[in-house]
Amino acid sequence: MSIAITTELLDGCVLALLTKEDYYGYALTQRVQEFTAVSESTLYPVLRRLKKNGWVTTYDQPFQGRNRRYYQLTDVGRQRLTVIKGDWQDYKDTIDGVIGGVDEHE
Amino acid sequence: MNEYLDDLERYLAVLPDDDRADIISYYREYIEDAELGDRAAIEGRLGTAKHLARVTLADASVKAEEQSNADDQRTTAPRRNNWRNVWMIILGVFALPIGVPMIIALALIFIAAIIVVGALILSLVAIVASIFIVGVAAVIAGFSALFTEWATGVLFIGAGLVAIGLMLIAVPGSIALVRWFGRWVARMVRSTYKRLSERYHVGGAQNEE
Repeated sequence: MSIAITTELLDGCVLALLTKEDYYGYALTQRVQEFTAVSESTLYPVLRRLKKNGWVTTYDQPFQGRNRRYYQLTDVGRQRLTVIKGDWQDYKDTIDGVIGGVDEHE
Repeated sequence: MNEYLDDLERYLAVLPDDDRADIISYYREYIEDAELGDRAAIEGRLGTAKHLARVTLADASVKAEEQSNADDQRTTAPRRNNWRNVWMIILGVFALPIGVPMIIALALIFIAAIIVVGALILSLVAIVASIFIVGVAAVIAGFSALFTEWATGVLFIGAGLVAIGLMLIAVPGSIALVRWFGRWVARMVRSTYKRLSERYHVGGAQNEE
């Protein structure tokens, strides 16, 4: 696919994934790579920003003698997700109006 | 794995301890979860330690700049630090998936900027050097003429000393000018990167705003 994902949209996708369950870094990267082509080093800055903005929190859980850091959605993060969802819907409708319109008239 | 993380840690030496430790522990966990056995496997997925550090640093240095601008407008970072930032940002831009035409355009802009700076420095050096040479030559000519044509000799010595004096005034001024220019280029590069990374942070499509 030639359409690349934007920062806002990726934030939204990560927040949306976290509504269903808490993820650790690797699992989250794998999950995101299922629907869009991002490099393996993309998620760290994203998670760092989400945490800095207070949209996610982290907690550590022991796993095979080491720790895994899980990311959890906060209430503020949930509100942020609602805003991004609204923006995405508007954008999607606008683009559909342009791209969809061409199909109907031909 | 430890070897890779040690290298990464070394390349991230400019960052505050907390930030660096956070990045290292993230990638330690990541490598263990991905079950990447040897260094080749790690580099196949994450790139070389150097590359990973560059991508991360380009991000972090821009953030640090925003912070210091907000904190205190008057503080100017040391020049060498500025150039290191410029370098990190250039490498960071190359790591962004923004497409070859954009990279070529940026490369041309950077080359143009470097040529301009280079030409400026070269012309300053030439001016200062020529004034110095003319001054010295005038003093020597003045001394050799002193005994045959006393007035001409004195005139030449005086003119030569004035030229040398002018040069001594000009040198610190031109150094300051070159420094200022360097800082200006650094600022331009940084704001370009900031705008780019906001738009193309993850992919190529532009935001709807």
